[in-house]
Amino acid sequence: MNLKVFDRLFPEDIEKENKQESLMSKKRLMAFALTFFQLIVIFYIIDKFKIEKSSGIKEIGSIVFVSFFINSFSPLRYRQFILFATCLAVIYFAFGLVLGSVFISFCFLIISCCHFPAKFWIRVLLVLVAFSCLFVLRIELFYAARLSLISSYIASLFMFRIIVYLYEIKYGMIPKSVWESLSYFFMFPNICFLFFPIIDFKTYRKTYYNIPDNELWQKGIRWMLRGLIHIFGYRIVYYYFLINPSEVIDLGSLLQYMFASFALILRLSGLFHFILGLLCLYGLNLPQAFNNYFLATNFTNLWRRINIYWREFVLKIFFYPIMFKLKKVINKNLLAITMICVFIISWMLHGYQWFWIRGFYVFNSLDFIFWLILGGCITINAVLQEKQSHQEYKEQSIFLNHLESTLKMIGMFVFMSVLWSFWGSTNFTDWLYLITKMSNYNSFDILKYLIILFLVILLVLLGHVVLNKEKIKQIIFLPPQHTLFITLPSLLIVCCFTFKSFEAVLPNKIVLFIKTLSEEKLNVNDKIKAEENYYKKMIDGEENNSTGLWETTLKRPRQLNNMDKVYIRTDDIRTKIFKPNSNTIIDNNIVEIDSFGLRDKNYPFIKSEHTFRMALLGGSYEMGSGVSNKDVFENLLEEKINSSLRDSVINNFEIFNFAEGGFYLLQHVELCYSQVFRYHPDAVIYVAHSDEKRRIVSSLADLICQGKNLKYPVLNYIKQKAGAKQAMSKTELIYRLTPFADLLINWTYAEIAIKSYQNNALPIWVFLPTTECSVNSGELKYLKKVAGKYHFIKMDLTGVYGNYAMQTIQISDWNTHPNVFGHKLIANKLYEEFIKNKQLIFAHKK
Amino acid sequence: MKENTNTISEKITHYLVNQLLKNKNIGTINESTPLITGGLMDSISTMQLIAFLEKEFNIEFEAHEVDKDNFDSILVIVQFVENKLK
Repeated sequence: MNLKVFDRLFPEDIEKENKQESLMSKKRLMAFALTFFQLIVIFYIIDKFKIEKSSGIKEIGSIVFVSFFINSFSPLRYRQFILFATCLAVIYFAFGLVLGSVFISFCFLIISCCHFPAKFWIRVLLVLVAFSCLFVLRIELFYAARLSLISSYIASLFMFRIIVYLYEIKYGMIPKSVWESLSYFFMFPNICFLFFPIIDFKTYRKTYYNIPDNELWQKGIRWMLRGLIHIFGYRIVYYYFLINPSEVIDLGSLLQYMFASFALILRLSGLFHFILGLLCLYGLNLPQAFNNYFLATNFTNLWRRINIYWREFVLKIFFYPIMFKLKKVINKNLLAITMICVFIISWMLHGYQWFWIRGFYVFNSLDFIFWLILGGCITINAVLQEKQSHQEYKEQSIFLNHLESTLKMIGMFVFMSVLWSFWGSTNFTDWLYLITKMSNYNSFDILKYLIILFLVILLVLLGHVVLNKEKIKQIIFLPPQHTLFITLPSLLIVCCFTFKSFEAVLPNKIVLFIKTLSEEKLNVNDKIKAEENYYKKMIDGEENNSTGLWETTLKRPRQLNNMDKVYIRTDDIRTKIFKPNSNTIIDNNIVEIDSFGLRDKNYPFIKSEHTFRMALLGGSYEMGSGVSNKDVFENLLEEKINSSLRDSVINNFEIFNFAEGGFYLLQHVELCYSQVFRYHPDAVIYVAHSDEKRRIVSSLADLICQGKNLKYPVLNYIKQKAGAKQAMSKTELIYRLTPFADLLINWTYAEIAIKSYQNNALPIWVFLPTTECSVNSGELKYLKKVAGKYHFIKMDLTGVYGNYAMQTIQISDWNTHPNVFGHKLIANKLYEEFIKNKQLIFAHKK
Repeated sequence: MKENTNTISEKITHYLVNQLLKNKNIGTINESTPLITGGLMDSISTMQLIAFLEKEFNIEFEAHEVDKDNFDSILVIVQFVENKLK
């Protein structure tokens, strides 16, 4: 690179440099010290509250501190280079030397294509060729896991900014220096956050240090704080208000579901505020990305407030060019046609963005309808406004003005919530089913909702009046350099909540609330979804994107879909079984399937006289998801028993592992009828976990959705009684089947017990808590009671994980199954239970 | 030239106040009032203003010229129109 470009300063840059305070002036040093302190506090909060933990933002904290320091005390002309170098440091830190170098080289290649000394269309073609290579990597046309991983990050840096950059080049804008181009593309927060605001090149240039840097620093801190507040707001909604569609039973819960769904956008606005605040520290005085979108009074107003960068991008690249082209050929409805075109493009661009982040594109009709409705509403609104623009301004009383705005705001919020819930539904019938719940109310409910609505109107009206007072406005729109008295105490207060000594003086409820906010975890509903998707992926090989994490984490290894190598699909209730004598690698562990189709070692089919054989029924925990065959607790237990309990009557213990990921009680009953007793076990161990009722209902709903033959009269009876049909959405099926959960539990427990006794085997019920859920004592009591009713021998493994931190017993943050150590703990505890009950268990053989 | 500038400015101000922003409570506007960044004009009103300028001054605009830099105040609009007329 030619370093002489440093000297090629443009007149406005010299002017900017002159405007900046002297690097070592007292005022500036003070401002820097305060900003640096606040930045440290912000990163402390990020760490303690696990803000966007999966993004890696906490990990790059030290790089940010060092580069911010260097940047602040370097002459202006070097700062774009420092911004670029910061990004390089983050890339090398995240991807290592080799992969990082490949990453950077590819980025250089794309930028070089834009400046290739050839006609503009040839440059565009070259960029397209480079993107085609990226496309091949992204869709994993050939297996190159690490390259495929970086492709999404490279794409995130370039997918929109390259379009803007080429557009500006086409119309004669020349980068001032190579560092300007490089720092425009290499924005280090983008490596952490793949969803990134579409920063305009012209705006970037125009706003770069357009105010003194000490003002910019405080503005950055203010925006980062605002971002954190939005993210906390998101967490409150996510943990406390967002409910599962199957929990929507009446008008009240429907409204809660819809409002909470829309409010989740707080996470995106929080992230964008944080990103732009961070960039502010490096001189990018960029405009706001979100502007109080919940206060929108009509559709065009909303379009101007929500994701403003997206709107600006679409206007510049598509709206104006389309409109200018069309106005030469059509006269009527020009605005409407242009806007429809723009919204179709918007929908496609969202798909394009999702493709680069997820690695695949799925046509989603809900997505299309969402954009169609939103686009249609904004277009109609815009056309009406265009017509009204020539009408005289009507003076009305201030109160009426406030009231009108208030009602419009509430109306817009309700409409957007409905639309958002539609967008977030799994399918149209699911959403339609939810809407039918609107009719579930009584006159008392109506009165209640009317009172709430009245209070909301009153509150919003009051807020509107207050916020429009000149004095209040002055506080809200304070110049950034005067906001230290807001940001510093706010950050310190949040900080205080993380101190143990401070917790001691707070009421328990508040401590619990803060603890909940300080975790980045899935709420109960997403945990269920994630679990269901985990098995869906296992069966269908689909990429799971519903875990609530937006970014593909750097730590998360990419996996080949090897499931098909060991699974065979079946038409019965089991839906899939292991392929005998097969093996594969799943989650970095060898999965070996024996000749009977079990994840176990090979046993003789015929049981010898002195062998005590047991059959283990379970799901992914018992199958040993994420660990090797030899580390599964079933194997460890077998070894322990064999080494200590052998005598002259029983000299061999065998545990046949019938467990498979995604198997619940219904599958276990099917196994009892079709497989288990072929091997003449002396005992059948069924391992139960928490949430049995929910799981069995969901499992039956899945079978009905898939149109499986339910085979058993009880299941067909329940299906008929519940009015469940294959065409129904899963949400509706769960709603209809839930009243039968108790019957299902009783029936399955009874079937396992009866089949066991009929075949001279002893049923054993084991309760094994999952690693991430606390045990619900009420549920445990209920399950114990049912197990006792059908004469199971009961073993309760509550407390099996002792006081060990979850991280030490789970496989990883994204796979909460027990790791090797976790399996050891389970085997030890289960062994203790076997010793306690050995007379009962082994007596009948003896 | 000075007179010409004044005429252009007057025509634009008149159009903005009496036509385009007629239904808005804009108070008073002067030559440097921010029109786009101040929220008085959006993409639709910008296009309406362009239609007016093209017709009034018999000039043509390109899509890439529709920019805050060229339309954010009466002052810059006048300068831009003048450049087009040259």
